[in-house]
Amino acid sequence: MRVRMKIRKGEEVKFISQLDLMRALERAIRRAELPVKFTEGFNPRPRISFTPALPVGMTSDAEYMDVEFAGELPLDRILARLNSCLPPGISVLKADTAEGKIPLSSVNRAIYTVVVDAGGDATPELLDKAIAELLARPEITVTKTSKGKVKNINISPLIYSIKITRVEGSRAELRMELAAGQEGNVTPPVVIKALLEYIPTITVCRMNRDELFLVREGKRNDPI
Amino acid sequence: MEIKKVLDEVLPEVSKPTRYTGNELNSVQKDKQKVKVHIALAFPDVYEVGMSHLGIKILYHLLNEREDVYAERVFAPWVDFEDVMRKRGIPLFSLESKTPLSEFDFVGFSLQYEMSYSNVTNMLELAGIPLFSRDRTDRHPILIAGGPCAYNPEPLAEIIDLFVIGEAEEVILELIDLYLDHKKSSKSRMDFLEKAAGIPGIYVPAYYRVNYNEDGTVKEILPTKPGIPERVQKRIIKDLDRAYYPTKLIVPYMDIVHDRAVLEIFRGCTRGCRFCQAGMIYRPVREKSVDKLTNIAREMIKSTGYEEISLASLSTSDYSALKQLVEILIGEFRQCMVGLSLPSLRIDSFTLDLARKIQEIKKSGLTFAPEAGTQRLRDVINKGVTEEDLLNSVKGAFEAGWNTVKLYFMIGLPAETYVDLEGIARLAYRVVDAYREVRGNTKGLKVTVSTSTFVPKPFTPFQWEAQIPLDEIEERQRFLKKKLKGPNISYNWHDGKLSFLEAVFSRGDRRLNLVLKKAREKGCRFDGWSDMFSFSKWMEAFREAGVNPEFYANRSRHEDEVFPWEVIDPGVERSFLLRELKKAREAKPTPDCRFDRCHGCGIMKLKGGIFCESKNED
Ligand code: SF4
Repeated sequence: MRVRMKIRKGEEVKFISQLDLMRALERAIRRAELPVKFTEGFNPRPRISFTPALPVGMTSDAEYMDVEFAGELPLDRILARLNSCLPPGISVLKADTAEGKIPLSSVNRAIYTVVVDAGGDATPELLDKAIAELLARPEITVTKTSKGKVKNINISPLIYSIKITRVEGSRAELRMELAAGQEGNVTPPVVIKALLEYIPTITVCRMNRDELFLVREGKRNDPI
Repeated sequence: MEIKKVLDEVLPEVSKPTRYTGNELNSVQKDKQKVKVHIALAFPDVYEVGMSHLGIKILYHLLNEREDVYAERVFAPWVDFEDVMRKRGIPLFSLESKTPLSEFDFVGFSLQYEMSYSNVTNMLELAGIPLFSRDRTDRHPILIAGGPCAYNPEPLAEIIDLFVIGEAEEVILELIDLYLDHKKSSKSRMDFLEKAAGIPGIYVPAYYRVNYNEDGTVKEILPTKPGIPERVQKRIIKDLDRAYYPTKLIVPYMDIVHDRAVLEIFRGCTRGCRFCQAGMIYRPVREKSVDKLTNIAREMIKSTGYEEISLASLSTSDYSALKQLVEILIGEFRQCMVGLSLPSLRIDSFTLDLARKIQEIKKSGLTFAPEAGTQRLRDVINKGVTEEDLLNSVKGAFEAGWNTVKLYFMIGLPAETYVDLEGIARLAYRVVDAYREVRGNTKGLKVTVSTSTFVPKPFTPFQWEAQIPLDEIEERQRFLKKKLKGPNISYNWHDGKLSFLEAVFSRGDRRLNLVLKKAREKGCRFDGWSDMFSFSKWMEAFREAGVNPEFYANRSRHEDEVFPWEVIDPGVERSFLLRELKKAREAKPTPDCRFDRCHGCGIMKLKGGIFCESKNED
């Protein structure tokens, strides 16, 4: 049976990589003595798949994994057993069968909460104006290095919305809806970098991925 | 400064931030206000190296079993983070509670290799702790050091307050009890150190004076107060089955060098290779029982979820019930897909069979360590392996499907000639021939020859010998480079300059403390990492300290010379080592006392060896 799980990655583990998180979950499954299925071949690995990587340094309430178990197990038992074996900062929020759900690799959109400090004399009003100007631009070019090559990409079509949801002194909480996944990907740190052109004093205090889902033909599909 | 907050800010810019965050599974969280003794276990290398080390795991969990103690970890920050720390004024801090090192009661360094000394001094600087013991006051932590390099404590004698000699599991608890008493009194740090010097296995250098001869050699090392022992005898754990062993091991998030559950199967070795320090200082041989090991393994996997168990010892094949143990472990863990690895396995027909069972070696290739290229030189160093043994094992392995072989040798061994170097190359080619014989061609074969340079070590039969000069090291490497060419053979070698420095510090004396200070001022650190190592800075440091490094590395010693490290008593006697040196000079081997009579190494006085008791000394 294939089980889909929604996973939280908290403050304690926000600097670990996607690979580290996967390994931590595999080991937790072994500690929980849950009968996971393994791949065939010389170097058997547990049959587990994940959603695309979260940037290092960010917490998340919306990581997903599929685990294939040998035989049928009650979902609430899997949830309880696994949660009792996970290290601090990692927990399973929900578990459900993976049958009939969207493939994890198909997700294409994410919502983030980003708390920033505008810094210096910059006010939240100024920040609001900067965001409006950024969003109005047809092209926002950022440089990206992947595999040693520097590339210019236009992130404008990858940003769906940025809103200020709360203000406290020089601090502001932003809600960003951005493209995520294989079709196109932009992360909050990249967006903030673009905002630095308008307000160079911005610093990031906290980043969290709140939601991750697939939008197809204008309809939202959640992994779970 | 709130270190946690600053970390949030700076870590996104640092490589491998997980090195500094802690919070791993089974790491220990305690309220530091509620404990009586706060101790930092410091490993002078990066996280992924230090976390792979067994000793620190044992001590960490052992100490944290006590409610009145909180043991935390600290590793050397990698250079990019060090820059950030210096720029932002972040003091070196512990992984668990992010407490500055200078606020601890104790900081204990694990000394595994000499070339980490510059990291010890750098870590002290980053912690804001004065380098020399004499400059520290009651408000500073007490610096402890242990590990194999502590068997010659002298190069760090002015830096470290007290050394733990030998296995620390018991003595560290005695030391903490003493400290608890001490805290109740209002006495000074020196008073504590003086009392500590009375605990067997603890060496407090401040209470010893070294007198030198005119030629610069040591004349004598004398205790400066009554009650301080003349020599400090190492400590051992007599019964390993009853000794503490942690099963709730910390499971790191990031990839570390050895990321698996480690099962220590025995301590000590009796093979008696004459260059090998571990083989002498870790005697006597003591094993854990199969029952005990099976239980530990089971619990370890339960509490870590590791996908692999690795057997740890100096020489896996020497465990007396290896076959039984391996079969039980395989049976036990087949179901949950936990693999088994047997490092430092001597390959012969028996172990090849085991290796096949666990399929371990196929992944990593076969490793052989003949150490020397001719039978004569192997007899000199007492490496009891013949060329025929080796070739038979290699053939067996090729028949079983392996095609990668690594051969380890040492160059610059005492009495080595170019005939012996030639022998290294010849052996490599004979391995190629063996492959051709078995497979009909050389397709797919890879033979890697690695040479390190012989470093004479304290408490070995070769402690009297010289290391060959640096230019000669490089000459011999060039010779081998020329000889070891071919489509199936590759050759790599250790940096001779590093081996030279290692030779200086491994047999150094107190005058090297000043060199370490100078090297710190010049910015030396991470010497074991080739892109960080600066030989010229070290040479400047020697010059400024007025110390000639060749005096330590390249001088052969007179039979009667007093050695700086002889303030330590490792159990094995000087007379035995000298007998072995003389046999080496006649190229006479000494068989393993496990299968032979007792050769009177002297360790019997410590009791506990599994072979010693049944034998009469000769
Ligand atoms: S005392 Fe004798 S039997 Fe024991 S380790 Fe030494 S030489 Fe071997």
